[in-house]
Amino acid sequence: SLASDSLNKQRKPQEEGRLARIFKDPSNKAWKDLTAPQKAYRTSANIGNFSIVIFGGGVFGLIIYALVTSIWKGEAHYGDEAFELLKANEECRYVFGDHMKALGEATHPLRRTHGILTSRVWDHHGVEHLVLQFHLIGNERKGHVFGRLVNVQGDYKWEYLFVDVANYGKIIIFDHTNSVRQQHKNFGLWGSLKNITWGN
Amino acid sequence: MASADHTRDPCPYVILNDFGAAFSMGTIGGAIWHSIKGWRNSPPGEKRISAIAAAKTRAPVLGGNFGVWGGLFSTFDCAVKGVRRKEDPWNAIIAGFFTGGALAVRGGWRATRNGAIGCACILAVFEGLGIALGRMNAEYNRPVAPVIPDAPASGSTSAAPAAV
Repeated sequence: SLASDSLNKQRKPQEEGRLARIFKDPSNKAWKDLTAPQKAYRTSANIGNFSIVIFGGGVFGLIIYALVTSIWKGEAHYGDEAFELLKANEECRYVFGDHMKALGEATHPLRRTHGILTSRVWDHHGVEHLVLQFHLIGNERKGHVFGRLVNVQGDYKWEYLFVDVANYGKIIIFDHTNSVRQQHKNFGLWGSLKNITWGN
Repeated sequence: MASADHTRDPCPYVILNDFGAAFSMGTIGGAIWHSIKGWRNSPPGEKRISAIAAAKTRAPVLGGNFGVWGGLFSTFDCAVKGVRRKEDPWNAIIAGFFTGGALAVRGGWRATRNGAIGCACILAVFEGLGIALGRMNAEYNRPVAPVIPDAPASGSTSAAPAAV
């Protein structure tokens, strides 16, 4: 407006300090016309700006990498696969009804759910496992699904998948861990313990 | 079994919840933003009254804009979940695509397309950020294998020895 124009006219360009006169590089000057301190200033400014750009690009790349690896052979991929396995299971279809949906966890029943809950854990051998859980809602019943995969040389393999159905019990889709078999091996008649060595 | 009782599809109600959350976010942020802007853009002596006036006129508008975005996004999110019947990062990305498109539809075909793609990309970055943070969190909680004092841990693959 007019008032601000008149204010601007009265203002003189500010005197620059001594340091600025030595170091500040005029942007219209070419590299060979600069003095040594100005060259140093321009170099450091360029390095600083570039490092910010590279840092931003690195963070962006990390985010995209996380998304892509999750969808393609990661958390999201195996969450979808678990749901497909449940839908293909006869008993699940009978118990839940044909109309199933997978639902993630939320902090409150009316709040937004945040996808299938997955986490990576490492056991005491240093082996990585991918643990996932979600809710399964059918038109007949509701259930809570638990699954675990093991990382075998960069490739995830299913260990177990079961669903805890409300007012029904557990449906074990599969269990490739030998925990149950191991238990049966150790129980004798009437549940007595077998194969126990009491020291040597 | 009790765990399954908490299971409930939040879907129709979560739209109202998200609309309210986005509206209040926009209103509070707009009140702060526009009161500072009104303070700076007014002459001395009128600063306080114009800051309040600017916040009163513009904060509800910004809140409304945020609310429309949030409500529309949540509506599309529920629609996508209803069709796909499962939850993964694609839900948010597809819902963001439709939201961006719907908000830009009055600007013509090109604006709709650009808005849809841009909004989908932003939501993809949000989803990726969530996954990356989750993984970092898991990495922080990675257990360190304990070192047994007497026997040398020959087969152990743990990198860092635990503090005793």
